[in-house]
Amino acid sequence: MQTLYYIPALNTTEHIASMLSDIGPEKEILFGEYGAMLPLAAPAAGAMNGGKRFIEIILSNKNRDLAAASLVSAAQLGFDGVVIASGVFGKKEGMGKPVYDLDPSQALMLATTLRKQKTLPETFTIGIRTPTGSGAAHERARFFIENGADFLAVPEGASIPEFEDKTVIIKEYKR
Amino acid sequence: MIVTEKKDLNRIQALLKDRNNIIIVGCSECAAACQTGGSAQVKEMAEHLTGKNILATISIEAPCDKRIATRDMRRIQEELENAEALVALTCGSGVQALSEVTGKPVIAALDTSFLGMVERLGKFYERCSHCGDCMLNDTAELCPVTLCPKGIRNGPCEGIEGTLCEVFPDKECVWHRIYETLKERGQGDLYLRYHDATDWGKSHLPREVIWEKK
Repeated sequence: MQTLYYIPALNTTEHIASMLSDIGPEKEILFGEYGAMLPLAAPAAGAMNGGKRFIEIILSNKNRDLAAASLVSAAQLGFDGVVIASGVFGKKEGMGKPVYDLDPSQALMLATTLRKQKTLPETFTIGIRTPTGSGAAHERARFFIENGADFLAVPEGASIPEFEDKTVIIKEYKR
Repeated sequence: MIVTEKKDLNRIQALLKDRNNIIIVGCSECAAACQTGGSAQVKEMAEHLTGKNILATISIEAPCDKRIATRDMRRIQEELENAEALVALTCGSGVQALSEVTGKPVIAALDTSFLGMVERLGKFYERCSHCGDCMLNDTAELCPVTLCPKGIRNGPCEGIEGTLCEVFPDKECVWHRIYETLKERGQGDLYLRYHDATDWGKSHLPREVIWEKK
């Protein structure tokens, strides 16, 4: 199974450069959305050379318009693909209103439609964080594949035996 | 039922600082069931508002219904004319209906929380988010828009932990329940029926339903 090295949070351009150097720029890297900077800023840190580069798009903080704009911007900025996720969500004091205008299945439909329309290049790869470990999760994985996902992203230790050839392991980078 | 909760009494008193002649209005439907606006709570409010001249107290069957509010407020017409403010132990719709019906300032004494299913008194559960795009016929009568903290219409999300919810780890993921219930009923095909993103163009606030004349 293929591995994507995941940097969940980007905070400064220096931070990105330093992490890339640790991981190895030849590796395939997924830039996450949990830091002070959007992953769309990764090209500004010179992070695009080497292996394939993926952007994470989480749906807890954006509506369909911003999701579409993020996909198109990522493709234009040289990202090779996306990993769609609903996003980690927890209750906390004073929190902003969660968005969830789209769920992962709906975001998948959006991305595949943009690709069919050639708004995204044909080579732009669409992956999706996929639930595992129950019958409900397994059926949802099947739905993703049947509806155009190029790969199913799962954390280390998880697997989807029926779709092993379509599964990509997300290996979180920790210092 | 509209579930309401009491506002802090100090806030109510502060809002009534410069007003002396008061009418207290309760709701004998939802707020009464929540024990936030029934006749007992109206009496309690009158006792708390020491130093105020309580001109009248009244419990209206459904103060959110302007027809009923108009009819019942006529019973205290004289007191209403002299009132400087009403204190409404009602939901937000009731407060606004009373304001429109009486033309008087209305102090909202309750916070409106949600549309609730009642298990028994004191146990109210949110089961419907009135999204305007009901999918219950496909989901074994379990609303994921409400019961999933992410409101996911095609679940589960990647955060499911076995069969448990990521956000509330002590609760079963509603999409797991939907899947298992549909399977038991022999309706498994409904589970993967795709539900498109909600068309918010149909749901701009404030919503209205106005019957067309035939």
